[in-house]
Formats: sequence, C-alpha cells, structure tokens
Amino acid sequence: MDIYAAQSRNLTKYYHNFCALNKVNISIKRGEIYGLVGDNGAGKTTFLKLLSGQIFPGGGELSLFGKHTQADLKNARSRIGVLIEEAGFYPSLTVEQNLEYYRLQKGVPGKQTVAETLEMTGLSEFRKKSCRELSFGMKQRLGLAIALLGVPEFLLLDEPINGLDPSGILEMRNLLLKLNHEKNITILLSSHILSELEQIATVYGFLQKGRLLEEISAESLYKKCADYVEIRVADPQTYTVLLEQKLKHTHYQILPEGKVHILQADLPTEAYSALASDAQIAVLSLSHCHQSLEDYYMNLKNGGTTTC
Amino acid sequence: MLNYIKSEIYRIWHSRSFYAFGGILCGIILLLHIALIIGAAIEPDFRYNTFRFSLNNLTAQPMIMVILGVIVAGTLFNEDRKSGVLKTTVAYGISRESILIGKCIVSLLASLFLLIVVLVFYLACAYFTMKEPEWQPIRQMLLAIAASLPSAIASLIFGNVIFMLCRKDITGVLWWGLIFYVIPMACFFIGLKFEPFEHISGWMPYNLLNMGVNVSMNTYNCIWNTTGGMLQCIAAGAIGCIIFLIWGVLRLRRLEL
Repeated sequence: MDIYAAQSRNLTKYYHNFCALNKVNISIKRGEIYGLVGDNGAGKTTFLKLLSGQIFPGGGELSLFGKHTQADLKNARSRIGVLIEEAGFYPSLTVEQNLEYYRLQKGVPGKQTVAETLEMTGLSEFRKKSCRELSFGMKQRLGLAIALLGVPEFLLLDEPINGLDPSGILEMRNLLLKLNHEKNITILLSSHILSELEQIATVYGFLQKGRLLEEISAESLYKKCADYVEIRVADPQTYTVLLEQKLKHTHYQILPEGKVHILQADLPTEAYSALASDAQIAVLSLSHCHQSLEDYYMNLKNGGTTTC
Repeated sequence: MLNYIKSEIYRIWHSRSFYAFGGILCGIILLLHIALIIGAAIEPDFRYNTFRFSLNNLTAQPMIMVILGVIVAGTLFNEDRKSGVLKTTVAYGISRESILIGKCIVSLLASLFLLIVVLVFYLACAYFTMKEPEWQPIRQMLLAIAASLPSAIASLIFGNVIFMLCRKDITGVLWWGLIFYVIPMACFFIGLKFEPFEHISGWMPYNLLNMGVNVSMNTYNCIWNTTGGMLQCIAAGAIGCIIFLIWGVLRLRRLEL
C-alpha cells in the first residue's frame, strides 16, 4: 500500500496564457490533514480540481494512492470525497433524495448510509426539505454530506467552512478531526481562515501565484514560529545591522512604524533592548510575542523565507 | 456506468420537471381537441372535428418529434452543469464518456416512456372526442413516428452533448437550431444551384421530414409510404446518432469543468 494519498510532481496548469500552477510538488501522506494556504488565485482550487479530475494538467504528474495512469486515477477517484467550490446538487430534489442519488451513483451499499450521513452532518431534521430552500451554510453541510457518502479514504475540501455560523464551524472542525482520528481519513483542505486551519492541519502547503512556497509539518512550523520579540526602535535599519553583526541574528523582519520582529529569539528580551541602548537608539516598545500561522504566511509571502 | 444510469433513473423518477413536461404535452393535446369541439359547436359546417384531422396534425409535421428530442434532453439534463452535479460526478471517477452514454440511455428510456403515454392519451382523446374514427390516420401517424424516431434520437443525443458543453441553455438551443434547421435549409437552397448539395441535403432530417411529407384531409403523400423512403429516413437518423455520439465522446473527453 502506497504511503501517499496524493502526490504531484512538477504539476503545471495553464488557463490560456495564465499559469495557475507552476511545477508544483506536493505530497500528502495517508492520515494527514493537509492545509493548503494561499491567496485568491494562488492555485488552491486548481490543485484540488486537478486531483478530482475536473480539469486536466498541462504538464507534470499526478498520483492518487500511488496510481497515476488515467484509468487507474479514475478508479482511485471512486475512493475520494469532494467538496470543491459550491456543492453540486439538484435544487428541485430534497436533501435526502440528493444523497440517495449520489449513493446510487457511487455504488455505496445500504440505504441506511444516507440516514447515517445525514445524522453525521446534522442534516437529519432537514432531510425532507427541498435543496432550493436551504441556506448557504446548510448547502455547505449538504456538500460535505455528499463528500462523506460511503466513507471515502481521502477528502478534498475547498473552503468547507465558508458560510457556516460559529457553531457550524465548531461542528465541522470536530467532525473532520473525528473522521481523521477514528477512520484515518486523509483530508486535504484549503481555507482563507488560517486561524481555523491552524487548529486542525497536521501539514501545511503554502501556495503563491501558482508556486509552492513551502511544505511544512505543523510540528516544524510550531517550532519555527514558537516565539519572537517585537521591538520598536527609532532607527530600525541601524538596529538590524547591529543585530546581525553583534548578536549574529539573521532571522528578523523589518515592519512599518519602526517595528522589528526578531524571530527565533533565543536570548533574554533585555539583550535586544540593551543592543539598542548601547548604540543610543531609542527603544519605543518591546514585547515577547507568539507568531501565528497568519503571521508566518504573510512573512513567507513577502519573501521572508530566510528570516523565519 | 450502470450506477450512473441507476442514479439518473432515480432522479428522473423523483423530479417534477419530467412529469410537468409530460403534463404540458397532454395539456396541449387536450386543448387542441377542446378547440376542435368548440369550433364544431360554433360553426355548423365545421369539418375539422374528425379523428383524421386530429391525428394529421402530428403526421403532417414529423419534425415535432425531432424538436421534442432536444426538449427532453434539456428538461432532463440542463441543470447538470449549472448546479455543479457534473463536476461531482466526474470527481467520483465516472468518465465523461460514460456520463454521456448513460445520459443517452436514460433519456432514450424516458423519451420512449413519455412517447407511449402521450401517444395513448392522444389517441384516446381523438377517439373519444372526434368524429369518424378510422384506421388509416393511425397507421400513417405510427409510420410518421417510426420514420422520425431515429432523427429524434439523434436530436436527443445532440441535445445531451450540447447541454453538457454549453453553460447557457440558450447557446445550446441556438446550436441545435443551426444544425437541425439552418444548415439543412441552406443546403437545400444551395442544392437548387449545385447538384452535390442537393444529394447531401436530401439526407438531412429537416429536408426529409419536411419536404417529403404532404398530408391533406384525403391524401398521404409521405416519404415513409415507400420502402426506400422509410429506409432513407431511418438511415439518416441512424447516421445522425452515430455522428453526434462520436462527436460528443471526442469533444467531452477533454471537457474541463
């Protein structure tokens, strides 16, 4: 059994002249919750669509469960669940009928599967409701229910918490964690809400303008971003030169308003203020902070790979 | 593909649009007969409230069957692409070719079911409300249906392909109009000047089923009344089915959703 649920090698995709993905190498191991991070147009949805076969690659190689020929990929796709962009269902049918439609299509045995999936996604009380009447959040839940039919081995979710209310987000998070822990379902999800992603992902892939900037485990990311010192000084340029020369610190970031973020700051806070005062640079503020996924991503996006 | 067919049969069975379409067809038939009854009640010399006249409405215009073919495709599948269902189906590993063939099989079954129900209703309406029921108009109507059925199936296949390809229904309808009306008509007129076009246009359903049919109250000069004519109608429709199916498979194989 292949250890990877999905792998891409030099995966490239063009939409006419626009390069949506540029030689992307992503590896998703079985059992992982892979968080795909990127701005709009970074290539997240394109990657998910390529995996699900909705679009075709312009170059490179793609594999699912170790299979990479067209015929094998088609078979492998019967083992995945998908919610990309908006959920696909017939508005004129009821929630239950839509699920039954997909159950038959996927060849999932047992009529009770539909009831179980409805229960799992909190849609039981809406089962007789026409899908036309559902709220956006409910439609997202239905999309997830469709993706979960037959308990797939690999879930592809594009912005799954869009439109959900706070309790819906919490339920969705718990459900995904439960599926991952109890059924060992591999999950690939993209989200703009990085604070949410931070709570469940075990691996991150950062995409920008079709390129993979970095692929990093949550553990490594946590270590990298553990703590940093934020110092606001009158002359940040001179201060950072001193930081490099005297304290041999190359992991920093200059921000507006004289702020300097000293990453991987392993010295006591006083050492950083002393550096400024010795050079007669006025220290306006000093604090010890923790870097979030959002900070890390912004830093990475702005070319700060070497500073963090 | 069998699972896809099963799921589509389930959906059609549970969706209202299919029954609504059947209901509309029966409603039109009923209205036609009511109009004829009213005509006879108002005008003493009214001579159109006959079984023959009623049935001749379809016999004289077999292209109706071809038009119904694309309407059935539109009624059953026009939502697939817009609603995102097609994307999900493809993501589950069902190939685009299997989807097309599955759609064609399901829509054909649904159309035949609809045809039988509507036809029985038509005959019953005409029989119970019109004067002078007779066998000849029934025979001619059934022959008209048999002659136009292959072309109607070709229209159905074309409709299935075009509604998968086009994001907007109107674009699909315009393409259908171009292929089934404009091009045959153009070929016919060009054929009046250039002989090769005359031969080609003679094999197009519009020309076969329009120009080759002359029905009046007393006469049936119809293409299907000769063995050669009937075979030509069937062959033309069959060729259309093969061409549209091959074109559809090739075109949809690389369709990005």
